[in-house]
Amino acid sequence: VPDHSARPRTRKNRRQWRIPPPPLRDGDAPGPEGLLVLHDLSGPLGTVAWKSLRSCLLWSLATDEDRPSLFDSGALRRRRAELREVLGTGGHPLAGPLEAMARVLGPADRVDPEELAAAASEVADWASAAGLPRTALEFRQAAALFLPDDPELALSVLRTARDHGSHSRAEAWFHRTVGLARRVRAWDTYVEAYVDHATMMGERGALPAARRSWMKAYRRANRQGFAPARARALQELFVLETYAGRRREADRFAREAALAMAPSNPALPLLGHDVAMAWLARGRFSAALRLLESLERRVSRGLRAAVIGARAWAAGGLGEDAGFEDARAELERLPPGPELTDAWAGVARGALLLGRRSDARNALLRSGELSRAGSRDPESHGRFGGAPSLEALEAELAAGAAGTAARGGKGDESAARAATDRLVDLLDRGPLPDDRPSPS
Amino acid sequence: MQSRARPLLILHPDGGVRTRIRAAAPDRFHAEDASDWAELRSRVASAPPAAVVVVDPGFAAGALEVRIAAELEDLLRSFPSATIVAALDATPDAHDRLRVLGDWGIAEIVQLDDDRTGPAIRRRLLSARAQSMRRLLSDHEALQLTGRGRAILEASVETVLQGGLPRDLAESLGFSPSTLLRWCERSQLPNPRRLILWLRVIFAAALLDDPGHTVESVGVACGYSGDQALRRAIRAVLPFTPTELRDRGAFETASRAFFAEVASLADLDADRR
Repeated sequence: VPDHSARPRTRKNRRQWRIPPPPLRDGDAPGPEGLLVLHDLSGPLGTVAWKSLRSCLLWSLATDEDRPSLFDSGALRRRRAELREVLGTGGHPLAGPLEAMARVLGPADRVDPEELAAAASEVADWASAAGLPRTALEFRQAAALFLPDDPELALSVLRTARDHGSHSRAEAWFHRTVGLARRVRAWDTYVEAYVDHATMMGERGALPAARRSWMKAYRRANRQGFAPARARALQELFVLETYAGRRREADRFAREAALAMAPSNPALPLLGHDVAMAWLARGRFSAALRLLESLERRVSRGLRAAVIGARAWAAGGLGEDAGFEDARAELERLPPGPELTDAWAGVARGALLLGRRSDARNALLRSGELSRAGSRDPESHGRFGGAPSLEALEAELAAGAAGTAARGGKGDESAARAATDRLVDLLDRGPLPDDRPSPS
Repeated sequence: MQSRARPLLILHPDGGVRTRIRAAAPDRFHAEDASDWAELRSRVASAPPAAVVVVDPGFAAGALEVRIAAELEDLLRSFPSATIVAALDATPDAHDRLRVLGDWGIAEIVQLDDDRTGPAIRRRLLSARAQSMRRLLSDHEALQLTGRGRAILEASVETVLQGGLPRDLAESLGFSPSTLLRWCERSQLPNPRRLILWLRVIFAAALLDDPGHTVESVGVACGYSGDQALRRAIRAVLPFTPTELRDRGAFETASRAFFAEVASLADLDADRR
């Protein structure tokens, strides 16, 4: 078996990191190597694609001594004949890459791993575009095995496995990517691997693991001066600390994220929204309202309803009936859609804070109707939204008020103020979204 | 537990194919031919977990549409933990046949039209060994292992298949025994000695679940002197006799207990790298 945990070769790489060999199969992929390709692709095309993949895996996983004698002298000729028979001469999109991959069957001294990796990646791209994720994953892995020291190819396997929902394989390739990237000091790939891993763990609800990876991504991005990655990591750490109820840390991450953000960063409105919603949940209504007013000019249509609903909540918290009515009327004018679900829940919260229970019930009814009417667009609401019952809302607001002074400490007011000021400034200076007309 | 030669059972009508397969890994396997499905079945019943079976799926299949013998399906059902490899021509029109074989639980396929050399066949046979067990262990939801932990587990499976000891495991990973111990700790796995013990019991448990095996044949197949030695080995990690373990679903019970022990070692706050 070849040593995929090869030791560093340059003088610079003195630390003896050993990288475990990658697992090539999952529990949900029983049977012979590459079987999932046969499930994805039927008929002779499936068979020749499967055979091409297996020949490549055979070559990649063979030792240097075995490679010259791995295939017999007629193997390349037979494979080419099969490819011609199945793919014809009409320019099938797989004809080029499978022909290139067939060269692995030829003389060993003419096999070029870079060319083979490129061909396997091309098949993977084709499979992804054709909606065949399992085939894409198998060929992506084959590409990464041709060039086992390349962290970018390992990262592409991580991403394909993650997108396919193959988490255990994705995690194994994550560790491999990090090891390879660290070995050749490919810090951009290293940071991207941590970002992808953190996102995957966050989506699976493994928040401590997500936090660890965001922290690693942040530290390395900070050290290497990768500003967008640093800003994103800080934003996500702010969200995670908010979820965890660690207010002081959350406030500081909010400030750092705001300071790291450029006015043109497309993630700025989302950060503004996240911070505003966190402030609302913690009773910082005045700061939240300032943010939301600036935010409303910057958000695209998808997020706009959520911002208006949050504005009604903030106005309710400040006891401003006029502001509440204004936001509610504005929401009334928007065409109904599932993206208004959380917005009406925000109106209900504002009404409850103003002591208008009946208005709150009506708003919740509308929220529920909209929620049932259509599937909820994940881009149309923020991460602190929801459409609960009236009793649940009352309990939430009561707990929020009590928790402001008790749970998680008081937070860092100066950091929170700095975050708000900076975000308002950035939002006021930044460009308008494409779907909103310029004031001029 | 004694180290035993790994049997390679072959059922194929083509003498040339049998010779090729025999010659592929003379150092790794002890090859034996079977003359028909009945003989193969009785040999599989007494074979150790490391055994690999190579069959022509169309052997005496008659004129069935997919040209796969019903006896093969029966064999796979009776001995689901057995490692069975199909040897056939994978021509472009063989798609359905290949897919059905994979779905039935064939561990690997030797493509007779492509895999004509010794190194190619050897690699196919080696990649098939205990594949189902390895996957079950490395992909269980309860087992949140790092890449490093998975590598140790994979190598442990291989070591146990060869009747190896913890020092053999360290050697296969290229570590010293003390480095292996440290890696096990950092990967939140039991220490190497305990890990090997657990895997031996899990392998025996997999055979206990096969309806074609008796308790005694499992003991002998796993390299123990008999059912009493197997009982003592199981008692070292589980409070059951082999029969009780079989009644409860041996592999499931043993692997659950193993996962529980691994979970008890988990330290969520540790930086697992």
